[in-house]
Amino acid sequence: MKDCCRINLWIEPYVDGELSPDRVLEVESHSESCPSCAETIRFEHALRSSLKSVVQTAAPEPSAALMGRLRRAGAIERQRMAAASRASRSLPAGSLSWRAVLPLSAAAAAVLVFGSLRSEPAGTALKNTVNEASSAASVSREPDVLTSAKDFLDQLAESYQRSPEPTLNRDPPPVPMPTLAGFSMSAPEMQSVRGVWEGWSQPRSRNWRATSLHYRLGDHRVVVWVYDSQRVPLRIMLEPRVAKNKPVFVGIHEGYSVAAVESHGVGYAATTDLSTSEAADLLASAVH
Amino acid sequence: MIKASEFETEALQQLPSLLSVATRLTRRKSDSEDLVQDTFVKAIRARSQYQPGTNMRAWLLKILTNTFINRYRRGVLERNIAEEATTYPLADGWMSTASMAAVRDPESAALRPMLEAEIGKALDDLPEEFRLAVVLSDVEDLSYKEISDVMGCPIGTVMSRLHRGRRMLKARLFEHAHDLGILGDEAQNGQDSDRLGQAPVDLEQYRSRKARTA
Repeated sequence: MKDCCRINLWIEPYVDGELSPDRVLEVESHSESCPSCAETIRFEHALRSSLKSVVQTAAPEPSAALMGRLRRAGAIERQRMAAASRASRSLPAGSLSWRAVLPLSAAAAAVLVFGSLRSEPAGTALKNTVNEASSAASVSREPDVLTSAKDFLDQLAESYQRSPEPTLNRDPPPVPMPTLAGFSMSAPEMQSVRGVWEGWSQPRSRNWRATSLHYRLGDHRVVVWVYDSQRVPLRIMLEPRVAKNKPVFVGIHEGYSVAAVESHGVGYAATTDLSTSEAADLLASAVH
Repeated sequence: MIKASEFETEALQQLPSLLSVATRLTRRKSDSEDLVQDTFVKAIRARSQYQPGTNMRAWLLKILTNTFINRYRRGVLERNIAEEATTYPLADGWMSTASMAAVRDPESAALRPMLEAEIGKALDDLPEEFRLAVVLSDVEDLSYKEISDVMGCPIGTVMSRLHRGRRMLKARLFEHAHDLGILGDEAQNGQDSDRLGQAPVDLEQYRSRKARTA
């Protein structure tokens, strides 16, 4: 019986299969002659098997709807990754990414060292390397969607910083909203999430147009831009999420949370000083 | 790197596990499905970090746990742990051999489902980190090492969470067994409760006796 205290400490790891072999032997030889410890071991086993049966019978079977959601989410994610890798291959020369700049500068440095060892004008070699690299980059230059998505996010963040702008139209949002020629859409139901209307404006750039809706939520501000999601594929720049059972794309841009949802080809992008999760929930609740 | 489609197929095979853990964590079906979908998409994005041949279930559960903590419960865990210390006395739940046998194998088989239902409720009432440790160990059969990896804490912490979590479950189970009449009054009010409730008082008396005799 004196051993019981010591053995007792080992019973849980023993039943979990985590005890060292020599201690396993000790526990087993003790419990053969100790009904109390033997019962503790049986009890621990019974508790685990009850837990297993309780949790597994209570858990819902994965529904066909969930399987469908996951397969769709997987397909969207594969598309997004493919688009992102295409986009990173076709970055315009003016904005080389770090991935491109680092090897490039390493190559330039190597050429510089190599060039000076051969006591040739190092400057020429370096210049050639850079020229070659930039002409290679400009081959695949295109006014791609990535640039317009990036530009869109920049302007969205900037508009948020300026908000509420003095030029804001304080009238209630027009119905239907004159966002983009060709289709009309309704404003997100921000009142359902206690958003207080502040005003609207119509920012635009060469590649896109949007309607900017400004709201106040307690101490926070939310700016929602409604846009053509075909022209501005924000999803490339953001991370997929699920909120209120809807796919939402979220990210942080210029220090603000951004959430975007798409509905029938119309994109809604919210930027706010709330967290990304809150922004995602907000937008998912307001857009139908 | 493993191909996206193969990875997805393999990950989908772990769906029942992910869903059962997610359901225990969120306690709501709609939330648990959102959590599983988030986990799934994050796993596809991070699939280059997965090493084929290692335990994919543990790897997915780690993503699920992190997503849950970041998204649903940030800030709540610490509070739960702090509250727990005052809710449950540190005295170890000592039970007699006869009580354990009676609860493990009640005379009437009809009582077993009632006891198991209570275990389910007790599990839901556990502080999150204890519940997670117990589910990962006792339901998902992960090793201590895998749980420490999933929960991002040392193995010693895993062991103490498991021990404390199970102890709370046992305490609820014995209380319920008593209410159901499986355990007699003497088990509840006799030696057991002396050992459970009176231990600190006895210790004080012991110390004062020692002080007097010394």
